[in-house]
Amino acid sequence: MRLAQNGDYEAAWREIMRINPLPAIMGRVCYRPCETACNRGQLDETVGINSVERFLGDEAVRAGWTVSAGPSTGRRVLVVGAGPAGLAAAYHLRLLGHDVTMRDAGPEPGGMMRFGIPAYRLPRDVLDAEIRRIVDLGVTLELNTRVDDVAAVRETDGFEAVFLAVGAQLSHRTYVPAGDSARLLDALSVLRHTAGGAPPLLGRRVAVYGGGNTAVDVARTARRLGAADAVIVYRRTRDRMPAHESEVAEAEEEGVRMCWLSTIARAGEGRITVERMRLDESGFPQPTGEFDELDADAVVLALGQDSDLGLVSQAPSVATAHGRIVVDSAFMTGLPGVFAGGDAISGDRTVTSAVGHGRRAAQAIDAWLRGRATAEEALVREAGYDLLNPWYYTEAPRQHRARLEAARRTSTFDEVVAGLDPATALFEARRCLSCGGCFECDNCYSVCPDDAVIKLGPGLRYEIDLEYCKGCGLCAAECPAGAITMIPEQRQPT
Amino acid sequence: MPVEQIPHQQTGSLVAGNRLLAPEQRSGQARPDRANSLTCGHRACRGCGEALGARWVVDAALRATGNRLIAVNATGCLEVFSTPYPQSAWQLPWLHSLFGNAPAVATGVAAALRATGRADVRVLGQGGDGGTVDIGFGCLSGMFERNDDVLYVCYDNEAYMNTGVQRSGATPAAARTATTQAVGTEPGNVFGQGKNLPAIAMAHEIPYVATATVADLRDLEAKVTRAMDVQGARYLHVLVPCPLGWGSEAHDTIRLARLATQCGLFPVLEAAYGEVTAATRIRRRVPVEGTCAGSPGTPTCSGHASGPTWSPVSRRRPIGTSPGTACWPHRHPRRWPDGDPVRHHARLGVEPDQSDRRLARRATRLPRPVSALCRRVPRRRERP
Ligand SMILES: Cc1cc2nc3c(=O)[nH]c(=O)nc-3n(C[C@H](O)[C@H](O)[C@H](O)COP(=O)(O)OP(=O)(O)OC[C@H]3O[C@@H](n4cnc5c(N)ncnc54)[C@H](O)[C@@H]3O)c2cc1C
Ligand SMILES: Cc1ncc(C[n+]2csc(CCOP(=O)(O)OP(=O)(O)O)c2C)c(N)n1
Ligand code: SF4
Repeated sequence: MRLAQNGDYEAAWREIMRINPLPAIMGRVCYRPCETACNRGQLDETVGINSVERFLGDEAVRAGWTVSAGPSTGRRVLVVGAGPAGLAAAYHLRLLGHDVTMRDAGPEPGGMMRFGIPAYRLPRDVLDAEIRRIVDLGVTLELNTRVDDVAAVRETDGFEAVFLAVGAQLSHRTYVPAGDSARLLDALSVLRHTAGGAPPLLGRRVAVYGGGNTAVDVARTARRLGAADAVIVYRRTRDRMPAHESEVAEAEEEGVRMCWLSTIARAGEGRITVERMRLDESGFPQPTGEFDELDADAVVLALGQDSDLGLVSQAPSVATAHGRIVVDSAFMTGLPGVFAGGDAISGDRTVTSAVGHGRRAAQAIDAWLRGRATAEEALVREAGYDLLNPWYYTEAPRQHRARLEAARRTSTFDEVVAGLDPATALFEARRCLSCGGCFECDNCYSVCPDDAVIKLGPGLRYEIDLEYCKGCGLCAAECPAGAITMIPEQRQPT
Repeated sequence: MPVEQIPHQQTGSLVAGNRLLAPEQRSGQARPDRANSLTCGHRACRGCGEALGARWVVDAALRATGNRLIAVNATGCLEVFSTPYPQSAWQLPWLHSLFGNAPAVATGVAAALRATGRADVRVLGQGGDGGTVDIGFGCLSGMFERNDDVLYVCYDNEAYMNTGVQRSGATPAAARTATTQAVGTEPGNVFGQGKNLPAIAMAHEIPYVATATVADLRDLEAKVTRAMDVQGARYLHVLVPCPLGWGSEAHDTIRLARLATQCGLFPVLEAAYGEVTAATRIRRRVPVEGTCAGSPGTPTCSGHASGPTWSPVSRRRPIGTSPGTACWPHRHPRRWPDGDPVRHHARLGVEPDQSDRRLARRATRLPRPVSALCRRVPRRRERP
């Protein structure tokens, strides 16, 4: 943010790239957990960190900024799965100089970002550009290559370490009594075929069963594929829905209907029967015995995904639990040198955490290869709102991203949420309060009654002249960002 | 005009520097080559608002005059903590004579410079509120009346701090000092007494009068700079909280000054030839009472019925727990929202008490506002 505020977008982008190799993607699909923690929320509205990230990511794609791989170490690492977790790991491993081979069972890299997340939220040119940048670092990408037995492949192809990022690719199934003529589909295949350019025939009226982001995406996709009526059938209520609030709102703008507190009891030809539910004291849905009929040419099941862990079934030392691979704090499985991350290990199941896993696993792999412990990450000092001095921040309303009008959203897969233009992105970046970080406002230097703060020059910040400091604490109290800490002086015993 | 506000840019012009602004848009105190006229090593208490204000003022005056400046100081903290014999923290020609004669000495220096043809060298007089509002007042009035070419700056810490916090003519009502103790049914300084020196200075129709605080230092700097552009007698009244005398935390000096402006107790303004020309708007309004009790949001007047009551902004200690002693701003004779406290409190459903009635009576004997005074006096000075 600091660099973006200066208008030095390339430096700001490089700063992001130290952590996250997919800023243009993340600037679109991240659910922004960080923004709920943003202190500016207590002043007016949170900073659009995500829209600034996207702006920088798009600038990089436009300007063709690249990074380069580290000096070669000659160590060979296999990454299984080219989803965000695998891509992030491959990127960081290349920066660390390792030799990376990435194998994916699919025809194109990207994982769920390509075959799950629809194009109206993540345009494919953006996805392709950011993946290409990683592959161009010298990653050997082998597509249409399924890895069936990790241990064996590692042995025969001579890889020192392996990173498993196989995601959760299987649609969770549930039993729905259905007549022979009922059309039942699963969400992942609908999305996958749509992404592959061969959308399935859904009919005019589509019912989607489930309450997660996938359900919302399928319903919105159905509208775009020509369904006049798309209805989401969900057991609980809106506030208990796992789907992200903003996406539900966008879906509703596009005419997607919601049918709360309902389960599908039966599916027949052109019609389904739903049972009404009510929530008990613990918030669990209970059947009421009341039924309704709904018109539906097709029913799409969006009830969650499972991982296909067949590739570790021959390696007994790799433990699995609840359909996920078990790893230690360094992302290593029970088999030394075999690491895992992304949807295959986590309950969070977002691109954001997958990218995070990829980075931290890459560091762990690097440490393991070099035979040392993973370095503890130095955490940036965070400042809570009470440490800030909000007086010093100017009034500045949040800049929102423009959205495509609803009419065009039901007929095309054009991107719904637009990016910020340079002026608004700069404005938004400058809304950041830099909590806990000195941004050289010179307040400490100028409010010291004792002239005991020494200004070291641009970028070098300040030093306190303890010879003259009386410890009044005005500098700390008047620091907008809470970047100064007062430490009690230890008195010498006399 | 108060200092121009630069919107947005993270902190705009609210901070001293701000790397997002062009160097000329930053304050002089943010410059690495600032004069530091009052340099480190002086003996002010920690967090002294006077020391802080004085460096900003004198540095700005030095810059405006190209370092051709002589300072004259009245007795008081500023003089005592900066010049323990044989040392001095001042990095400019600086004179001290007596407690009560600083404006006269400044006049003399200005006259001597004129007599020797040194029109390029300017004079700055300065003192505490005791030295200015009380003992030095006669000389100051004379300096105004003769329109001598001196900028006189009063650092108002609301009492005689250097000799142990005695009440001055600038001590606000209800304030605790060594001579106005926080005891009895009407603790602290008496209501309705004291002088409003900026208003008195304006009544002299001198070319420039301004008030400022250490909460808005850029505004203070801009006002000094502007004052140095003007010839003749100029007066600047700066609110400088004093941790020792106010019993406040050293790190709260600026916060208290800010609260004093945001609750409306200390108006920040500029005037030329007896008329107000600009005022700084209140940015985030706070009630006086919460301001003192440290619990912003307490509506004014709520403290009546229960709980400890708090002294005005400058005195953070409780001034008593008896009902009827709170609600200070409404007791200030010129600030009753409904005309007088009896009516005001009746509207709020609070039983008016004895002191309300006493203050309501006093309302009828109020001095006339300055503007009325001005109209009686024929204008003497030509406007530029
Ligand atoms: C419809 C939908 C919408 C979503 N929207 C969002 C969103 O907006 N924001 C967000 O943060 N998250 C979203 N997610 C979740 C997100 O897509 C996933 O959490 C993320 O992609 C997981 O990354 P991954 O790398 O772990 O796995 P994946 O992206 O699933 O990639 C796994 C890859 O491994 C390959 N593979 C699997 N097994 C093998 C094998 N044996 N051999 C070789 N290759 C193999 C697969 O082909 C695939 O390419 C969404 C998910 C879905 C389904
Ligand atoms: C004629 C005279 N009377 C009394 C004093 C003692 N004296 C020295 S400083 C001071 C108080 C100064 O108060 P103020 O002018 O408000 O300045 P502050 O110390 O508060 O900054 C007094 C009474 C004196 N020096 N000369
Ligand atoms: S008593 Fe007050 S004015 Fe005097 S030096 Fe201490 S803080 Fe400053």
